[in-house]
Amino acid sequence: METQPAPNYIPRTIAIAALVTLLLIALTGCTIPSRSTHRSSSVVEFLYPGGEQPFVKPEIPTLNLPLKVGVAFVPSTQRRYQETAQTFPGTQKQELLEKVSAQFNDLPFVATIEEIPSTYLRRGGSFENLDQIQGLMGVDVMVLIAHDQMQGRVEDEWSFAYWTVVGAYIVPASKNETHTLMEAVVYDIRSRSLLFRAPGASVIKGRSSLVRSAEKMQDASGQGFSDAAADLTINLADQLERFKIRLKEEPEAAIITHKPGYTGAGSLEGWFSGGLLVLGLGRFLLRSSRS
Amino acid sequence: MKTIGPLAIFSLPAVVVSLLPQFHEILCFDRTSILRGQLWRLWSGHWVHFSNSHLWWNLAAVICAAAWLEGRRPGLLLRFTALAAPLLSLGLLALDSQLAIYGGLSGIGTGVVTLLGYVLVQSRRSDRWTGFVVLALIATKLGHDSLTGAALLSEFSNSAVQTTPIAHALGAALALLFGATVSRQRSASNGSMPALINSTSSGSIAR
Repeated sequence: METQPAPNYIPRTIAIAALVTLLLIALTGCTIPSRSTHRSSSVVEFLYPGGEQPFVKPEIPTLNLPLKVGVAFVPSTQRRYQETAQTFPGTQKQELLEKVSAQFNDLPFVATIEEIPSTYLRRGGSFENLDQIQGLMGVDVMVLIAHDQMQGRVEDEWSFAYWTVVGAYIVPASKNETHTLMEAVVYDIRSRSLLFRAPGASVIKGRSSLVRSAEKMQDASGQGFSDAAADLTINLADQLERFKIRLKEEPEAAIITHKPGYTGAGSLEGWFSGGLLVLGLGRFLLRSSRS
Repeated sequence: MKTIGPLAIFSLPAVVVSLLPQFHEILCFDRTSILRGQLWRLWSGHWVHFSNSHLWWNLAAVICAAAWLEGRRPGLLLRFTALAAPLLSLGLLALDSQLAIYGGLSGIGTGVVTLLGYVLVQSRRSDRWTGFVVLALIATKLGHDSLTGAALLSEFSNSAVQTTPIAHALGAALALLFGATVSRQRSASNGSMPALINSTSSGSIAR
């Protein structure tokens, strides 16, 4: 008796399932939910964690010279902190901290700059956290650096809003674009007053195919942080100059006091010396012409 | 030519001290050391500068005024400096309790410029207006210091160094006091003639 081989149903089932899956992917490919990557840390969320609206206190800050300034990165708002760390590595952060510190170090009324370890700042720590740092490190003024990065990978237009301390910053975006925004805000801890802020931004337009998209997006992310940091450094230098001018021209902007035991010096500015020289020279020429 | 000697005595120490920074520590105004009895600091502190720009800006103004003053009233520059330097330091000790260390010629310099203005105001009519302009310049400087706080942001090589506007005010006040005292003394000895009119150079008197 000849035996018939049993029909092979299992491979056919698998083949049908695979076909159906492929069809589904082919048909629904353009409607895959938006895949975008968002990495951020926000000064607003750090200082006003309860959803309070940021505001600039009307209180006049008292700058007790020479100032001790602390510089720190605001903790990431993401639970998955590692994702941010991959694209914004510690070395890059350290580099930015050093650049920012160097800019403050050039100010005549700044005595020391302290780079505050990220572990000292907790998520949503608010001004109470800054008070603790002030008690621990003795800093008077805090420079808080935050970042926000958004990467889109599909055709859909999307946008994201970043809440800065002076309002929302809305970024329209499209496929494969990497938008990075950085912000450095400078607060007088005691009066909780915003002294000034500086932004840094970067847009990288991507054209990668889907095959190498993830890798390219990762590179773009790193480049975005790097470019935004460079922009932030430039803007910060500009804002520091403006702040110095503001302190000169608007004495009501801050009360200036001295810490006990400061080193003082007498200085006659150029305009005074120049005025005196012009006066002396004018008098000499007048007398010469008369005689 | 007679002015060069006093002018050198007045300004050269500042240049020499700037070339010997190792002596800054024992020469500068240091509250603790002065209170422990190192009284030379009451004088020497004014000739210690914290940077070259600090030194040259001060000297530019001070040498011009000192030469002018010495030309008008020989001997007044050194007498004023010898007296005003410790008084200014004592004033800083008393009035600015936060001040630990101080250096710079501008307090004395402001005094010299003020004294020049005072001398010019009390002299012949044509010089009187120049004197008023000099005093107006001083008033502008003091007003600028106190109202705008600009002096707080002066550039020094050491970022922890802050300017001390009160030194300028003290220098100006001491100069006015000194000028008035000298005027009174000389007018008393010369009869009713205002002292500083008499005391201009012989050429001026002849005219």
